[in-house]
Amino acid sequence: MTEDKLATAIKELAFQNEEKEKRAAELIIANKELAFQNDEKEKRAVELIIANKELAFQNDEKEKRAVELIIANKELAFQNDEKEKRAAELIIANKELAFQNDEKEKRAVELIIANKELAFQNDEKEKRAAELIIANKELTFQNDEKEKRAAELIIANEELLFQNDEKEKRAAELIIANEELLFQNDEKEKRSAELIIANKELAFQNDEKKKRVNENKELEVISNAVKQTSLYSRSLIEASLDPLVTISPEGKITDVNEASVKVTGVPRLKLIGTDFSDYFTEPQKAREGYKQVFEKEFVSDYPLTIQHKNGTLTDVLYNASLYNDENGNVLGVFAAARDITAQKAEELKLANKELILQNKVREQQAAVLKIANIELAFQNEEKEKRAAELITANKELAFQNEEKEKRAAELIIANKELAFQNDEREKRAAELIIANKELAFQNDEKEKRAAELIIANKELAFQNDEKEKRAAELIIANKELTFQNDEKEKRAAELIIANKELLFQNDEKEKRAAELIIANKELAFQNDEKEKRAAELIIANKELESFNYISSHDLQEPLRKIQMFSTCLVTDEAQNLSDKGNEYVLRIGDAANRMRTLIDDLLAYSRTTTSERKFETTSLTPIVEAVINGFKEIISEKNATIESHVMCDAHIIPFQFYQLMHNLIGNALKFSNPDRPPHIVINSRNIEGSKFKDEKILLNKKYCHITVTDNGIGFAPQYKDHIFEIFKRLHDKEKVSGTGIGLTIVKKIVENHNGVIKAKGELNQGASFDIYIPSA
Amino acid sequence: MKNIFLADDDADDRMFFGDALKQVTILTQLTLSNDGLELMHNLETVIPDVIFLDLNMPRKNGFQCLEEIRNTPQLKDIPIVIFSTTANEDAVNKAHQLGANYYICKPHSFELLVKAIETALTLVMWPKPQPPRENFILTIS
Repeated sequence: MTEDKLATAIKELAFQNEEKEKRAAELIIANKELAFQNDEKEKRAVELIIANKELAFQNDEKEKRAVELIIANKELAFQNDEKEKRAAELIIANKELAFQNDEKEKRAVELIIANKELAFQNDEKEKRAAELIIANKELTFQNDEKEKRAAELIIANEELLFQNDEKEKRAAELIIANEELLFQNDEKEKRSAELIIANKELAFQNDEKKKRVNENKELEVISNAVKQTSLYSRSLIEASLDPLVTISPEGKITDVNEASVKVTGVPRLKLIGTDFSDYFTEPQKAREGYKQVFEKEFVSDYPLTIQHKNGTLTDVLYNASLYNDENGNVLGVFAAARDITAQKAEELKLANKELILQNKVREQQAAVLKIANIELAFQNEEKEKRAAELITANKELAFQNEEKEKRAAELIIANKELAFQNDEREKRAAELIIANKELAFQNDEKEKRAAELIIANKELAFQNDEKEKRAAELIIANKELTFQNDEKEKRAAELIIANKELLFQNDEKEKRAAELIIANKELAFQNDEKEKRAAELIIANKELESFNYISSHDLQEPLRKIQMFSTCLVTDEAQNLSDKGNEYVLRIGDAANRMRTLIDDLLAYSRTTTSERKFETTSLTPIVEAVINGFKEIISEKNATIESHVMCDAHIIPFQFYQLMHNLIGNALKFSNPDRPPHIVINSRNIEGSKFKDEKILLNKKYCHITVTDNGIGFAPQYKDHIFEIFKRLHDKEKVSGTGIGLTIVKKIVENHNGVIKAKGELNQGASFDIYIPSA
Repeated sequence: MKNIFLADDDADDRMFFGDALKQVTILTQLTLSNDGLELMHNLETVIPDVIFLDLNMPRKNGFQCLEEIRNTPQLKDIPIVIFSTTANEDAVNKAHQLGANYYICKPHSFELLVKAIETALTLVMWPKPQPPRENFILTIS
């Protein structure tokens, strides 16, 4: 029973295997068709891209045209503004011109008025000038008259001066004469007085002379007697050897004798008047003695010592007494000092000699008196001469007085004439003053006229200036007008040109608009076509997706059953099978496994083309690590080492990149060299696209360059492109399992990422894969 | 004795599961349902210890059953292990979101099937809450 069952099962299995192989073949065909359709899809996509680029380009062109239009319109608007500004400016300029013309006319009218006024003022000026001429003539005439008067005055003055001089001379002469007269009168009087005195004196002197003569005779007798007496007295005093001295009540020496002189050594005149007590060795004692005299009226034998000038001392005894005048008044003290020495005899001799001398002196004095009398007589003669002269002088004086009176009368007449001439002069002066006032007044009038003329001239000059200013302004205004007219014509010409240009630009604009409309229609048509293609593509994709899904899922389902059943057989029914049967079962299982792998790979491959392309810029490191992690059993089984130095970020679809690395690392592990444990190195680095020569690499893009290198069985270099082709395998399936889709999937994924993959290999040395994926 | 429900529309899979269960050391009783409706019907009478639930079933698929079970008061706490051919990420997420306890992809080897069932039964024996998402898929190797 079980054998039948087995046979049927085996038959069924065989049938199923046939079916399976049919399906597989169908799958292959279907997949080829898929691939073809995908290529077609890609072609359409490429065409779409091109179409879109062209659309974009045309849109740009459209926008450029639109921008140009906007600019052209702005320029038009601006030029219109400019045109309007010019028109406004023209209006303003015209208004200004009209205004200036009015101003010009006003100025012209004002000028006419000014000119009339000028003419009038000129007439006035001429009238004033004529009046001035007349006034000047009158002035000159009056000046002549004035000069005549002045000349007459001068002459009169000169005559007056001359007469004044003469008058003064006369007056001076008169004064001198008067003075002289006065002086002479005085002199006369003096002389008269003197004469009288002289006469009196003469008379007196005559009397006196007579008396004198008599007295002289008497005197002579008396004097002789007196002389003799006095001489005698004096000689006695002088002859006295004793120093005699008279002292006043005040104590001063009033007289001394020769002996006193000798004993003191001081001359007589020096003694007299000095203090009596000075010449003693004991002045106080001398004074006391002197006082004693006054008290007691005398003192006798009062001892004192007289000191000579040269120091010689003479001891004396003084006897002194008071002496009075006739009335009994005390005149002084008479003191006699007795020299107690023996020099007295000599002193007496001397006294006698001196007496003789004094007599001689007396005689001389009598001679002198005689001479005086002679001179008196002479003087009397002179006085008589003077009296005679005085008489003649008086006669002359009388004559001069008559002359003086004549001159005085003449002077009176001259003064009257002078007075008259002064009146005349004053009259002339008054007339001159009046004439001068009139002149001054006329000068004022002349100056007023002159001032008025100056003002009138200034006003004329000012108005002329105004006139010239107006004329200049007019010229400028006219120039400006012509200039503005030129400008206006230029603007008009520019406007015409601008308008022509506008018309041309409008034509151009309309052409562009027409072209744009056509372009837009074409674009719209192309967009429709594109949308149709896109819709077709979407449908195709969806069909493919569902087909893929369904195919894989529905294919997987029976496959799983085959595997399950074959494993069941191996597990449960191994003992019921022969060795051959078991081997068949095992082979069934193997085939089923291969089919599973193929389906998985195909599914993976189709997922790479149909699934959503969700790109991320992300780190590759965790994905590589996950892949390596997924292989950890095989790694430990084969004692493999994997170095991963992946650090880059890249712009990837994460699950596809996972698939890529999974396939590459899986291959590296699968295609290991049995002689050595597998060693896989995965590197990555960032590079610039320019460093790499491949038409698919964009020069200015940054790429992540990943290398997967192994030390496995490698491949012959000539197959470096071959290995990426679908279902192409370099080894038979007994040696190394493989669907031949793995690297195709890898290449597809790399292309999905706009990257490039290159394979290098050496037989029995290993293989190396270089992948370039854009970083961003 | 653990009462186990299996819902699967594939007869072969049902057979495989039953055979595999026999090899599991734990003592079990298996109730088979051909689709979602039958499962729900069976659940009206018996509350199992665990439900193994296929996703692609006619009349009522696994998701619908899962949702319904989790919304039924007397059934909501029953441990559910999704048992499906697909490993689609969206399906797994949806199963987790709807409240399944574990997810097992149907293996393609009998040995692995036995292992899977044993692991699942061991895990769900303990009354635990739904595991976090990363532990949701049971990988059997």
